[in-house]
Amino acid sequence: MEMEQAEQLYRLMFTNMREALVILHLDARTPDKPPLVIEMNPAAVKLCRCKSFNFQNCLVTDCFPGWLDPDRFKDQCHRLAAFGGSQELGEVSREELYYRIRIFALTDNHIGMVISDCTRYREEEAEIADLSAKLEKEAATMERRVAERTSQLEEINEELDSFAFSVSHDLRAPIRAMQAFAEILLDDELQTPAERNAYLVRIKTAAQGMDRLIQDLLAYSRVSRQEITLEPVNLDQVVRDAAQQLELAAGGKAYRLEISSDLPAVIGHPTVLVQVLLNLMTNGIKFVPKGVIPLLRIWSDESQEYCRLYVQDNGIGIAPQHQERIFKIFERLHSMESYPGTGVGLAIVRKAVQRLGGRIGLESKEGEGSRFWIELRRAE
Amino acid sequence: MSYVHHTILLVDSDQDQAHFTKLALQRVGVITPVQSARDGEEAIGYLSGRGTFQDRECYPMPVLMLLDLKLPHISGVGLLSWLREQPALKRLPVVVLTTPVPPADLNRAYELGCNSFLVKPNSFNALLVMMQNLVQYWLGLNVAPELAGHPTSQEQDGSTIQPL
Repeated sequence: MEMEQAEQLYRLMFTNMREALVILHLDARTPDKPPLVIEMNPAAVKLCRCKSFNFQNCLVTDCFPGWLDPDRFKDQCHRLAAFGGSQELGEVSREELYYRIRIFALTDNHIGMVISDCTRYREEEAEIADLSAKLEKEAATMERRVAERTSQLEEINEELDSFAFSVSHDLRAPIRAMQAFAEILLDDELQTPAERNAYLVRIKTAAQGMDRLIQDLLAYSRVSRQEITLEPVNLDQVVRDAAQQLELAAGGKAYRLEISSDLPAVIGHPTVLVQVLLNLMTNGIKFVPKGVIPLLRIWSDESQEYCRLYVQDNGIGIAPQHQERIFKIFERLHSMESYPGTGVGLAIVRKAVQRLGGRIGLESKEGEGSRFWIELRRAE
Repeated sequence: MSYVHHTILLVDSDQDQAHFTKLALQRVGVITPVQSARDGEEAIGYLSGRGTFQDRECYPMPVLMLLDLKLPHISGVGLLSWLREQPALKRLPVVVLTTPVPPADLNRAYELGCNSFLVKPNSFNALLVMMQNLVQYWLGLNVAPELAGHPTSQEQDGSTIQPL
């Protein structure tokens, strides 16, 4: 290639580059003298703020005011001119655009400077950072949800385990009793007719207890699984229905019932709510000291969103340390003779209230009666 | 063989089961009346000689406790843990005689120093065989530890479980 043509090509190349190119001259013998601009390509001219550009005595800091620290730049240029190599000078931002500046040694007295627009690169970087942050956040959320779900499942598993254990225990107890009584009756002729009779009665009692337990378990399973459509329910009606059923369930046992009028409407399910109320009321008249006539009071308390329905009794009360336990399935605080039951009733009640999207709790002191409450969303 | 001065304290809340155990013990020769407690509180009352249980003629200190783990209020494990903290009572041999419990409770019972762990059989005849073995071993072969007759009042105060 001829020299002339090569020269022309180099010049074209220099002129047409999108990066701003600047050639600087510096006097290597006088390190105090700042470098001067001797050549710029059109891209560099576009960035140049120096009005009197004349290629001879123009200072870099005049062409690009504020871009660089004059003293440091001068030193950097002299070092490069002496030792060769290249150096990144970092990023500069101008009018919302970002530029990256690099200088390199050309000769002992000349330095090349490249200013490239890195705005897009920066934007992309920011976008990537943004996306990674989002991704990280999402991953964290996901992880948290997985952890939550896992712990929920673990809890359910544990519940199922203890449920299976308790079911087998409580169902087998009456079977064991029936079998043993029957064996004694079969093997033994030493018993008086009265004893034999008593044994037969106990076999029958065990069978009845087992039947009650199975019925309660079915009720519990029903309330856990049945499809419940929530709808506005009139509590007046629910309490009236429950009171009627209580009369049948009490079987002639004396009790008093005080129901406050004007109970509100709540979001719930009528039959489930009647069942809940009936269970609470049955407990209320059951757990009383001997000789005391049960007194049940039912009233409600409303906030803007919620309604609390109270069922208070004058029974034996529940010590604070047992107040959480009593809602667990098969938990019984008392011996069978003093207060018979399956230990499923309150578990049904709690499950039902949960299914209705409500809460349940109680306030009680031993010997001073109990006040159970259920909290449900009010109907408009 | 019959066992005359061998009081057994049976702690079981299931009255039918308690009845079977007592009947089985009688049949295998335990002449001393088997004492029974229906729950942890009553057992603590008996062992510490409170109230009517002060009368050690009627309610002698047991040489062996048969313990069901499934008790209302204070669990069998809770009772065992109380017992092992009582200086005057902690050596009392305890045989757990219970319906099946989760492994955690079984291990806990051993950690708290139960001396044997038996699961109640379904059949009365099997229970008879079990009680026969139990009595032969624990009342016959086994050498019982010394127990202090009555816990001092200070020891009573040291109880971790307050009767309800």
